[in-house]
Amino acid sequence: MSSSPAPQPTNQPDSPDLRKKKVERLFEDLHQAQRELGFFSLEKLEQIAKDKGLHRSELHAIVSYYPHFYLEKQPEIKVRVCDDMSCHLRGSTAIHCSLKKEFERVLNDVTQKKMILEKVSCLGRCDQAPVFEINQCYYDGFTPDDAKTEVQKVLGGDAPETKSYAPASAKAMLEPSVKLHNDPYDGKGSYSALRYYAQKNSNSWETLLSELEAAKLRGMGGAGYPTHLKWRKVRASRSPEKYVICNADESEPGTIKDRFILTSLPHLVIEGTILAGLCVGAKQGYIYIRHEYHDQIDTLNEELQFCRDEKLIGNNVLGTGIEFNLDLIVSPGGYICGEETALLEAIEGRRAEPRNKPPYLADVGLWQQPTIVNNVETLAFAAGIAHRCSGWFTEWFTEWDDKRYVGRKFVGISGDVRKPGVYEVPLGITYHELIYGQQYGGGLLDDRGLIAFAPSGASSGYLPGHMADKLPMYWEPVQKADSIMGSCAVVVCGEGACMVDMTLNAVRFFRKESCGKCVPCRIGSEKLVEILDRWVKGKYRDADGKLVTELSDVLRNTSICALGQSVPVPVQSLVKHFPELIEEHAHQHCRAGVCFKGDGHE
Amino acid sequence: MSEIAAHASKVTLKINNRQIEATSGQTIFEAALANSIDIPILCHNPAIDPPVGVCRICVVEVTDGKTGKKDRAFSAACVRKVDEGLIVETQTPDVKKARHTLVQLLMADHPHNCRDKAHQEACELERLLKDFQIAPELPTLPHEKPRNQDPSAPSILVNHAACILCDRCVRACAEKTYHIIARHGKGYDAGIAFGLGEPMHTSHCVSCGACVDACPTGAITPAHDHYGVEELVPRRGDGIARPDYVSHKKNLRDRINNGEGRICHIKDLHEFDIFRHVSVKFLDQNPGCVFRRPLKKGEILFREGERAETAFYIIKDEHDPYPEETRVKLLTENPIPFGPGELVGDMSCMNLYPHTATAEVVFDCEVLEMTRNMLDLARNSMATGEYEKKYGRRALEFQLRCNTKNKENCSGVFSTLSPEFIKYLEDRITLVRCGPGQTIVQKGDEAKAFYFISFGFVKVVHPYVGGEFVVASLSPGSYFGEMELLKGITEEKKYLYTCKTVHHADLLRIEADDFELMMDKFPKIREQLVKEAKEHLEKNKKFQERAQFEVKHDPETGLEEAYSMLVLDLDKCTRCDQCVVACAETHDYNRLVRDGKTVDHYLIASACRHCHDPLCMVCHWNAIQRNPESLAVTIDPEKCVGCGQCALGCPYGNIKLFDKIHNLVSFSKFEAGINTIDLEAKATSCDLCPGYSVPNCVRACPHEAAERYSAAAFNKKREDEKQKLEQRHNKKSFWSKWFAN
Repeated sequence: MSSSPAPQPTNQPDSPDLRKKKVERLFEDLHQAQRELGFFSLEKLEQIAKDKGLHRSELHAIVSYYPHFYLEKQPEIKVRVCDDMSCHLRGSTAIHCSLKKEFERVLNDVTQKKMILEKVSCLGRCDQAPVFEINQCYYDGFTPDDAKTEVQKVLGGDAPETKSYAPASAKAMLEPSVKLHNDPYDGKGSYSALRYYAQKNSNSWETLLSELEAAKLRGMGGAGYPTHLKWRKVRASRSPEKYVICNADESEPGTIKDRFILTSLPHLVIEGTILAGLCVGAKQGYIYIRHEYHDQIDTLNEELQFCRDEKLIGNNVLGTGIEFNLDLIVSPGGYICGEETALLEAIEGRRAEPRNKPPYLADVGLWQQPTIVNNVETLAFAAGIAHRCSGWFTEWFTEWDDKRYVGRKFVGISGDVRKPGVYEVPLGITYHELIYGQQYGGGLLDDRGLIAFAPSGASSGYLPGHMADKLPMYWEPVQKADSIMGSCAVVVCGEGACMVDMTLNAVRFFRKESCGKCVPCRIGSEKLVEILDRWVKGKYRDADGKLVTELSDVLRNTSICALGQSVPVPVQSLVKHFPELIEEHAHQHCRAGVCFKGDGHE
Repeated sequence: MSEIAAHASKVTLKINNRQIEATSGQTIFEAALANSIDIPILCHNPAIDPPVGVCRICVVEVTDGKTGKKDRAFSAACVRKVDEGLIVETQTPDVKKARHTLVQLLMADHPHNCRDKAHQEACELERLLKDFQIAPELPTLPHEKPRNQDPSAPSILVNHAACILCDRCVRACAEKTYHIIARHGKGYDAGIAFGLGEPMHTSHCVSCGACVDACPTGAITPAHDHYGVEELVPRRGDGIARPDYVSHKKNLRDRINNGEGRICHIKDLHEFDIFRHVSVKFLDQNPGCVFRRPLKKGEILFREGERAETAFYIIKDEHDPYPEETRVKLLTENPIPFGPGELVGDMSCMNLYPHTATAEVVFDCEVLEMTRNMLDLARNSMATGEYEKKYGRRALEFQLRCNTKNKENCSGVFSTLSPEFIKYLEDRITLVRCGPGQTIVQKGDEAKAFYFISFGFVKVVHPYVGGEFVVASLSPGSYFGEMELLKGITEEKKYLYTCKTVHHADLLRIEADDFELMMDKFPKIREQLVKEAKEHLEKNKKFQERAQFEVKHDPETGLEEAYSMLVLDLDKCTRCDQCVVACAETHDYNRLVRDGKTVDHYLIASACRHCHDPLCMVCHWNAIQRNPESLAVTIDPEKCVGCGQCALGCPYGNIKLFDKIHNLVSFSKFEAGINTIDLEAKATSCDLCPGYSVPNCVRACPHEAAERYSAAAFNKKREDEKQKLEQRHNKKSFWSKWFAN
C-alpha cells in the first residue's frame, strides 16, 4: 500500500547516438520549414518537434536563440546595416540615419509592416565597408545617397542583388589571376601532400607532426596554441571515435582573412582538414562555415565533390582502407558559434552556449569524444607545410630588436586605410609597416593621422597610433602591450574617429553577441554598454571609473568563455590609453566631432 | 607501488593551503564540502543535477600544481573536477571581490517587489547579499529593465524580472521528465520559457511545482498563500471525491487538542528523511499539517473501510535497537508489515479512498501523521531510484504472491509462483506511477507487457466515436494484458481494450518475454488465466456488439453520459408514485426518487443513469461492476462493505446507503469528512431489474409517463417533438394568415 515514484526513463540526457539521430539535418530542416512562411508558426514548431522527437521547449529554445530563425511574421523587405568597427568608421551610421529619415513613413507603418531597418552584427565584408544587406543581398561601399536609391528601387519592386562599390584593393585579391605566395600548389589542388602521407605507414604522421613543430605553426584563429600539440593530444587518445573540425565561422569585426582563404585556397583548407583527420585517426571531419558566406559555401561544396570523386575522402581514402568523411556544416548564425565549444553545441543541435572548460576538447569534444577544432588558416598552412616541409613556412621571417620572428600570416586590414583587404605577410612585421607599407595598407585615407588601431578586431581593444611603430605582429609582444594578436584583423582608426565612440561600438558588439549563459557576460556587458552610452552623451559620473574597473575584473575573471572575458578589453584600453578623451567627454566635448551631434546615437 | 594502485581513484589537492584527498570525478565544490570548506553557491544545488556553472558565484582560483601556472580565469567550483596536484584558493581578495560584484550585478536587475515579499528569507540571492555583508547596489550602476509576469497558471506565479537564469527550474522540470521549461532568447534578453513560448498554463505544464521548489529567488512562486495539491478534477456535477484540505486540517487540530499528539514544527520536519528534500518554502506555507503521535502496541491506526484523509510515516530513530522490526501490520490475509522509515496508508490518502485493510500497531513506535497536501510534497521530493526499488519489491512480493483476498479476478492466481521466480522478476519488473486519467494501454496497440495493479483503479474503456464506454473497473490486485499475451487466445498480439487510470495508481509492468517465461514455468497459472481469458473474451464480444453509440455533446442538458435514464413525461405523469412503489417492492429498498433535473416537460428522475463513464465504479471490493447482459452498473450486495465510496463518486446522488434495518444512512456527516463508516450498511442503486424485460418502474406506470432512454434516444425524441411543434406552428400560421386574408 505504499507509494513509489515513477520510473523515469526520460530524465537522463539522450545518448550521443540518439541525439545524433534526432538533430540530423536539424538546422537545414528548420531553414527549409521557415522558407514557407518566413517564420515559424506554433503549429509548424509543434510538427517539427514531433518529427524530430525533440521536446517542444527544447525546440523553442533553439529557434529563439539563433538570429536567423523567426517566431513572428517578418516584413517583406529587410534592410540591415552593419555597424561594427570598420563599417562604423566608414560611415555606416550615416547610411542608417539617412535611410531611417528617408523611409520614415514606410518604416513606421505598423499596419503594413512592409519594411524593417535594423543594425546587424559584422557581415564579414569589412574591407568593402560600409556594408548593408537587403534580403541577404549585399551592398558594399555605398554612400548614404546611393543607399537610398537602392532601397527605393527594391521598394519599387526590383529584386535586390549584391552590388559593390568596394575599394579596388578588396576586389583585386579575389581575382582568379592573382597568384598567392602562400599556395604551394599555385592554385591547382593536386593534394599531393595528402597522397604522399596517406600511402605511407603510421610513422609518417609522426614526421608530419615534427614538421609542424619545426615550423612552429600556431593556431591562427587567435589563441596561438601550438598546432602539433593539439594534434598530438588527440592522436594519443585511444578513443575509437574522434573528430576534426575546421572552424570557418569567423565573425569578429575586421576579420576577413578566412573568407579570402576559403575563396582562393579551398583545396589547401580541405587538404589540411583531411591531413589532420588521418593524422589523429578521426573518421569524421566537418567544416563549420558561417552562413553569410554564400559564395564560399559553393566553392567548398565544389571542392568537396572533387575530393569525393578522387576518393580523397570517403569510406576508403585513396584505397588505403581508412575511413574519413568530410562534410560542410553551415552555421545557424551568431558570433558565439565561433567559440569552439559553442560551435560543438551548435553541431549537437543545441543552443550554442559555450561549455565550462576544462575538460578540454582533446578529451571531451564533439559527442563527448576527443576533437580538434582548428582555424581555416591553420589547416591551410598545415597542408602547405605537409607539402613543402617546415622550411617553406619559416622562410618568411622578420628580425626586430635582435629577435627573429618566423612564419607566415594572412592579415585583414580595414577601416581608414587606402587599400583595405587581405595580405600575406611574414610574422613579426610592425603594425606601422602593415598600415603604411605600399604593398599592404598603403597609408591612411586622405593622409589622416593614425589615432589608434585594433590588432584583432573588437576583442583586442585599441592601441594608440604611436605604438604601431615599434610593435611587431607576433603573439607575445602584442600580449605584452596588453592586447592580443588574435586573428590579425587590423582595424585602423584615423583622425575623425572618436575612440570613446569606437569603444562603445566594440562593447555593443559583444553585448549583442553574448549568449546570455553566464551572469557576468549577460548582465555585465549590458551594464557596460549602458555606462559607455552615458559617457558618449556627456553624462560621466565620478564613481564610473571604479565601477568600470570592477565590472571589467569580474568579466575577465569569471566569464565562461573568451567572449565574456574580452568584453572589457576595449574599455580597459580606452581607460589606459585615452583617459583624456573620457575627461573631455565628461565636459561635453568630443575632439573628433562624432559625439554630441544628436544623430549618431539613439 | 601497490599502495599507489590501491589509491588509484584518489587524488590529492590543496584547497586554501590544506592538503585534501578527494575521489577523482568529484568536483572542487564536493571535495571542499567534504572537508568543511565553505564555497558559496547560487545556481548550484546539490539536489539538482547536473551542475551548470552559470552564476559564477562559486568561482575559485585554480593553479596547476605541476606547472605552477595559474589559470587565466577563475573556475566554477561546482563544475570543475578535481585533479591531482591542483592548488585551489577559495577566499583570495580577488575571488571575494568578484563574487561581491556578481551579486551586485544580479541585484541591479532584481526587482524591488521581490524584496518586499514575504519570502524574502527564502530568496537565496538576498541571503547571499546578507552573508557577504555588502551593499545591494553598486553606485551609478544602471538598473533593471522591466520584464513581465506570467500569472496564467492558477497555482504558480512566474515573475520573469526576478529570474536569474540559474537553470534550476529547467533541470528540475527535466528531472520530472516533463521538459516544459527551457531557456529562450539570447544575451541580455534571454529568459525562461514554457513549451513553445506559451503562457505557463497553456503549455503542457502540469503544475507539479518542482520549479517552484527549485527556484532560488522569487521568480517562480506559489500563486497563493497556501499551496494546494492538484485536485481530482470534478467533471460532472460536484459529487466526486475532492481533497478537502481545510477540513482535514481542522480534524487534525481537534485531535491534537484532544492530546493525541503534538504539532510538528516546520524546522523539525527537515530532520526526517521523508521531508528532507522538500523546500522550506513549501513547508512554510503548510503549517500545522503534520503531527507527531506516539503509538502503543495493540492500537488500531485505521480500520478497513474508513475514509483516509491522513497518511502515516513511521519515524526512524538513529538509536533504535531494532531498525528492521515491524511496527505496524496491515491485517490482510497475509499481514503486510511496515517498519521504520515507511509510509502507511499513503495511497488511500492520495486518492481519498477508504482504507482497504485495518492497520494494527504491533510494536511501540512514533509516527508522523500528515494531511494529503504534505504527503504529496513528500512523495514528489522522494523520487529516488532506491525508494522506487524498495516499493517495487514490496508490491511484487505482497501483491503478486500473498495478497489473496478472495476476489473474483484477484491475484490468488499467482500464489503458486516460486520465490526464486519472484526474485528473478524483482530486477526485471518496472513500477509505473500514473496520475489521474492517464492512458496505460491503447486499444489496437501492440501488446508488449502484462500489468498488475498495485494500487488505484484502472478502467477498461471501449472507445467509440466521440466518447468512451467504460465496461469494467479493475481494482488493486487485478491485472490486464494477459489475454493478449497468452498464446492461442487472440489472433494478433494487440490490446483489445484501452486501459486508463481513474485516480493516482501504481502498476507493476511485466514485459512480454518475462510473462511468457512465467507461463511456461507455471502451467497451473496458465491454465487458470486461459480459463479466465476465455470468459473475458466472451464478455468482450457482448460489449463489442452493444457498446456502439452515436452521441453528440449536448451542453444544454449535459445528459450525454447516460446509457439508460428514467425519464418521466410531466405532461402525462399524475404524481401517483406508482413507479417508486414498484421499485421498493421489487428491491428491498427504494432506489428511485421522483425528483431531479427537468428538461422541457421531462423529469430526469433520480435513479441510476448507468453512465458511459461511471464515476462510481471505484470499489476495492469489486462490488460495483457493469453487467455484461444489461450493461447496467450493478452493485453486488454480497461484496459491498458499505464504505460509501461509490456513493461519494456519483455526481447525481443516485447511490444510497441503507443500514441493516433498512434505514437510510445520512450523508451529511460523511461528506463533511467525518468517518462514520457502518460496515453493516449496503450501497444500492438501480440495476434495471434483471429478470424482467422492462424495468418495473416503467412497467408500473399507469399513464405511460415513465420510460427509459439512452442519451441519444432521448435527444432524438426531443428533436422529433420540436419538429412536430414547428410543423404545427407553421400550419397554424397558414390558417391564421388565411383567416386574415
